[in-house]
Amino acid sequence: MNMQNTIDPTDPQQTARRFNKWDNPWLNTKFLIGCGIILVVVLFGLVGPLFWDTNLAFTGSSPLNKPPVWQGGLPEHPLGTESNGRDMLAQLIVAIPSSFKVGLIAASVGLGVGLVLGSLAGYFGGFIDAFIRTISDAVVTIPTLAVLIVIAAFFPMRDTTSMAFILAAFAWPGPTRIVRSQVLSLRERGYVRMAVLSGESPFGIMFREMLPNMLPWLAASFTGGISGAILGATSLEALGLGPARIPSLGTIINQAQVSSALIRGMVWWWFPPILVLMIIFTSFFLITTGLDEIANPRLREFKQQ
Amino acid sequence: MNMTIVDNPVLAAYTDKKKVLEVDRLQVQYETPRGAVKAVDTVSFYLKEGEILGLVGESGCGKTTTAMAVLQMVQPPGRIVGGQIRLNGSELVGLPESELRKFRWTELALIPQGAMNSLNPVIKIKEQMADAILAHETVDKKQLKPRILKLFNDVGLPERVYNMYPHELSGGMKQRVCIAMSIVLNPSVIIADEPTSALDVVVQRVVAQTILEVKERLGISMIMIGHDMGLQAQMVDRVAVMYAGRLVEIGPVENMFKHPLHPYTQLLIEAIPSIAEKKPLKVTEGLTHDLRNTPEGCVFQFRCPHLGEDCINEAVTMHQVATDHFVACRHAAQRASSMAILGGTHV
Amino acid sequence: MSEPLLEIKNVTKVFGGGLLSTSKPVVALDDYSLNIYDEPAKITTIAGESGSGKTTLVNLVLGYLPPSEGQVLYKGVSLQDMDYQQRLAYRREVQAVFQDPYEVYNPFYRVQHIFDMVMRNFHLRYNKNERRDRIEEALNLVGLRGEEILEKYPHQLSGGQRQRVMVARACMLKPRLIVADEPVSAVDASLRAMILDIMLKLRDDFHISFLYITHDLSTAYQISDEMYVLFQGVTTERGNAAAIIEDPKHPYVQQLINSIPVPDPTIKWDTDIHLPSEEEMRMKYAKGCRFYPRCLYGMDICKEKQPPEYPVGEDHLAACYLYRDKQP
Repeated sequence: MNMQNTIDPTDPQQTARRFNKWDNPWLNTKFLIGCGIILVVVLFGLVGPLFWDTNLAFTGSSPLNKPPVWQGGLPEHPLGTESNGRDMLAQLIVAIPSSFKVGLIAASVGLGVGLVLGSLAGYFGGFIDAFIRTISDAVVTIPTLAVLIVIAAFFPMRDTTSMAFILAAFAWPGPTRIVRSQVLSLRERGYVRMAVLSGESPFGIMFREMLPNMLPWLAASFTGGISGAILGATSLEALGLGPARIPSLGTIINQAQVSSALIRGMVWWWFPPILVLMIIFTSFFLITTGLDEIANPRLREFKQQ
Repeated sequence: MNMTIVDNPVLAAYTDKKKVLEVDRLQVQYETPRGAVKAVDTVSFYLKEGEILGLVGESGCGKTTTAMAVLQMVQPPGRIVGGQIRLNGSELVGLPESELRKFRWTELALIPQGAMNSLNPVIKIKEQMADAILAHETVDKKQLKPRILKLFNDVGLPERVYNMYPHELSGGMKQRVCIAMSIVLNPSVIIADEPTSALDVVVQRVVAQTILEVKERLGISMIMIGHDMGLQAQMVDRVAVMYAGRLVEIGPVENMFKHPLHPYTQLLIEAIPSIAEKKPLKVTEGLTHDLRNTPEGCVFQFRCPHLGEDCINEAVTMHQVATDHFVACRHAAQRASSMAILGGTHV
Repeated sequence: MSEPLLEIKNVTKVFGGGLLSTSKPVVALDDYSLNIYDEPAKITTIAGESGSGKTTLVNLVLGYLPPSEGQVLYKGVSLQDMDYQQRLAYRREVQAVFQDPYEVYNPFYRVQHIFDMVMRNFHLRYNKNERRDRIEEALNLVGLRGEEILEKYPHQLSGGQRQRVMVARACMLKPRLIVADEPVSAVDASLRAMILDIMLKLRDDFHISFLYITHDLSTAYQISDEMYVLFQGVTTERGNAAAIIEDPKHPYVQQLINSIPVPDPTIKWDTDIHLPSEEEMRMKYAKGCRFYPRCLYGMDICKEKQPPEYPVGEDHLAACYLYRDKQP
């Protein structure tokens, strides 16, 4: 007796689900390309020290102002060196993880805070919601860079970690709003009502029932947060307000600018950090857009057979 | 490959009154990664002028797909892979979009499922009606209002609806607006897909009666898709029953209810809960099979209580048992002919 | 007559119309009272169309919404005043099955998850085997087997299977009352009978009472013992279900039953009816009988005050002035 399930071909939901085995939403082109590029960049920074001497990133470790090897420079410094005697390749290898570290810390703290506050606001509503919403809306309107500059002028940031935490103070409203709107809409779902009937506590509902269904949105918020934090950190560093000891992409730019690299035609000094930043931001954009499409099936293109 | 009507016994059988629509061995398939699903498998039927033909079956049986195919609106990954559809003699399958537009709404209109929710909430009714007319005809702007008001009168809507927004109307009124929109260009055929499904019982009756009135007055032929057998009994002249993509029985409504021949039709009729008498509930076993593995023989073989040896392997054709009555079951047809009730000219 | 299990006491529920709202307040239930007894086990139907207040009733009984006025009492304790332990006890005895068999599943988890949640929250401390047995027992009640259900994801089951799993879940705690909100509306006709049959079996063999909410009087006729017919937040007629359907007294119920399409092509709808628009109905006669604008027998007194209930037969009452002076 054949007891298989029916497929209703006119039900787009059912047909879409059949496709999922082959057309897994996580295999989104933009998402995968973005992830791939970021992976390459991160590996460059993590694996680089095994192949290249990172001591060359210190001031005075290398001959000055050598152009890259294809412009007549020294083969020991393939990407050239700059006015302070630092090797460009070594700098990049050190700078990339440094920038990512700031981004990750700031975005993680922001997401963590956002999860807690957003869930409370969305689930309980009323006064708690009004309170949290007012504060997060207020923080969003603050001109981040201007305030950061003021903070940096009075409390010079000695290391990347403290800078990361200061950036996190501006990173939490975005996730809070996203989580709040998700919780508001998920609250009306049938399975949430069922969970209430099954005696589930509010926290159980928020973290066991709702959270797994929010993952793509949370991921998009997280990657957007990393991107934003790197931008914020780089802006501060490029203005000379960030920690100066360890090179990061922003400090390289700052050094180049301070030493008039542009006028002196030392393209190999100011261009590489900018190029890397462009690659990072573009990749995160692809990842975030890809996650948007994964989260919202309506944005997906229908693949013709 | 052009098969003439003579080759299709189902279509050739009826020659009296004019046939406004002929569906000739229609086949619609949906492509899935694991194989093609035969949503509509060699379905043939005709629609007589001025009648309402009911199309029933459980969800997934292919009735909506058939309707979409007639309108040439099957969306990918589905497509028509065989058969012909003739509207007043003109072939529809294979026509380019520009030609099809001439037929749609002017000759062939649709009241889709959940039509009331397809009204644009930010545009007034009068503009939506006007848009429907102007999209297909050039009409003097001054002529629009009286024409629309007359339509409202036809469907029993008060004049003030003209200036209202959809959200200000009740469900029944919105549905009547949709009916008005479908008759706006005086089509010869309307396909109504569950036109009253979301409405309350009393409102449903009012809307159903409106549809019947409109059909009488304008002489429109209709295909009414639904799963409420009670409603079908009240509204249609003939009933076509589909199961797993195939047509299993088609006949005059009285015959279908009083003497259903195909085992599936019998199942449907018996499953109707009644408030006339309290009878024990008939519990039926079984689910429809996987539509990707259509069996060689009868499509109902997994659930049929009268299964025979030949049912499993031999292909099934439609057998005529009366003037307008066909059944896709050899055994049922034999049983029918041995019953004196169904003569050759039974109404 | 024993104590009622559930008491809805003079409940009024108003939506909207607050200080900052632009829309008029909608009174879903007005000074509504209803007692549900569970000895002996029986199926009570709340029949009503959209706007009747039945959905609000479900939300109030299950504790999703608080009443604007009045109380919902469970064994004498108001739902709003319960602490966590009392609430848990309430949930143990009153469960529910809803209309949409897909929405009630969390698409992230397998079907097993639903049963695990119940086990965990109600502190049913069994070891792994006992747990599996309990679940299997519940699934067998509805004609399913654990091995073909539990490891699957919800979208891999058919609508009928999903709905039956929900019934099994509701039975796991051996409740005294199951609130079934349109449990068969979204299920194919051929499977409806199976689910209704399960409900009857649960009543007869396990003494579980049901509160069956529906708009479909034909299914109500098949399985109900008692019935309340709601119209715009008011009970128009109540009593023995068969008595009401076979001989309706209230004009609304008569209109309702006459409008049900009879599945016999030789019997067509008889008279025509005219419906005034919704706004007209709600606004003008807020004081008097709600049904007056549509009523064929409207009298002056109907405009002034909501009619009380009058007996019209054995275990049969109708809220209509037509029966004011008549003795059954």
